[in-house]
Amino acid sequence: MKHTTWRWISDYEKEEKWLNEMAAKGMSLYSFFFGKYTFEETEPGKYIYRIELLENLPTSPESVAYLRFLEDTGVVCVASVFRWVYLRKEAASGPFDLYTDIDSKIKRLSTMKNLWFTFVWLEFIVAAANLAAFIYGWLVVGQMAWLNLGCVVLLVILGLILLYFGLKPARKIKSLKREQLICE
Amino acid sequence: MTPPIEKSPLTEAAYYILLSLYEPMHGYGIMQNVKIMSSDRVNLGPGTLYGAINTLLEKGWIVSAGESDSRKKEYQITESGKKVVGYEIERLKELLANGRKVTGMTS
Repeated sequence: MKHTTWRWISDYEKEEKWLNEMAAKGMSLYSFFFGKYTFEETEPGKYIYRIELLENLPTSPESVAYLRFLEDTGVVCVASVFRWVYLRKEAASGPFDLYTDIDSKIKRLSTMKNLWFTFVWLEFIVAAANLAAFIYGWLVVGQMAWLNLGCVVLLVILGLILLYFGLKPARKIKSLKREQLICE
Repeated sequence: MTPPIEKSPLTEAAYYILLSLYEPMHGYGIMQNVKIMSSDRVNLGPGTLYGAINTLLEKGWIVSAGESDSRKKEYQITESGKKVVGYEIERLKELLANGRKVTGMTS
């Protein structure tokens, strides 16, 4: 039996936690597409789920090679959205952690940080362009371009939200680097 | 002066991967082998293992050794890889000798 749930979760860690809680109850994620989660009924706790951000799109040769490698270790990719992939592994074959040393954890967090920060910069550049258009209209043309100002406000708010997402991995990287001074 | 990369300390993951590859082995085989060698202490995550394998390939310390019967990609250590393991064992010996000397622990 398949069950479909619609949900929007912006924090991938919370999403991963939720998927594992569902799996523990016997509802295993089967496919995902923009907020639409489809679950299949399995025995409770059969799978462990991990959400991963690939460095390239899933269809690129690099990602295909990586996903194939994961498959050889019993990890199956059930869904992907852009560079995000939803991976699962049978719980009976032991713990499922993709990264087990500080080096690779930092690398993974950097990929995530860079993704968010790229969007933050884009937001702020477009916001600055809109602000310039508003000021130009106000001072030179003598017309208030409220639409531009509205865009500025929206983009800045969105930019700050994305900044919040980007700062989370950035903070974790900082604390891991401190640990790295004394251990591996 | 920093020592050449061949003489730099290896990570635990790199050391155990190199040791595993004295026999040709695929990714999952390495994970299992490392787990057994370390009596369950070291569990290599597939993401960590994949990154380490690619770096070791780039350095020429391991090479691709074709595919196994189950069509999984296999790897094997090279002569330069064996040399690196040799340096590491010398370094570990020094660490162990000094540790024993200072603490008086012999086993």
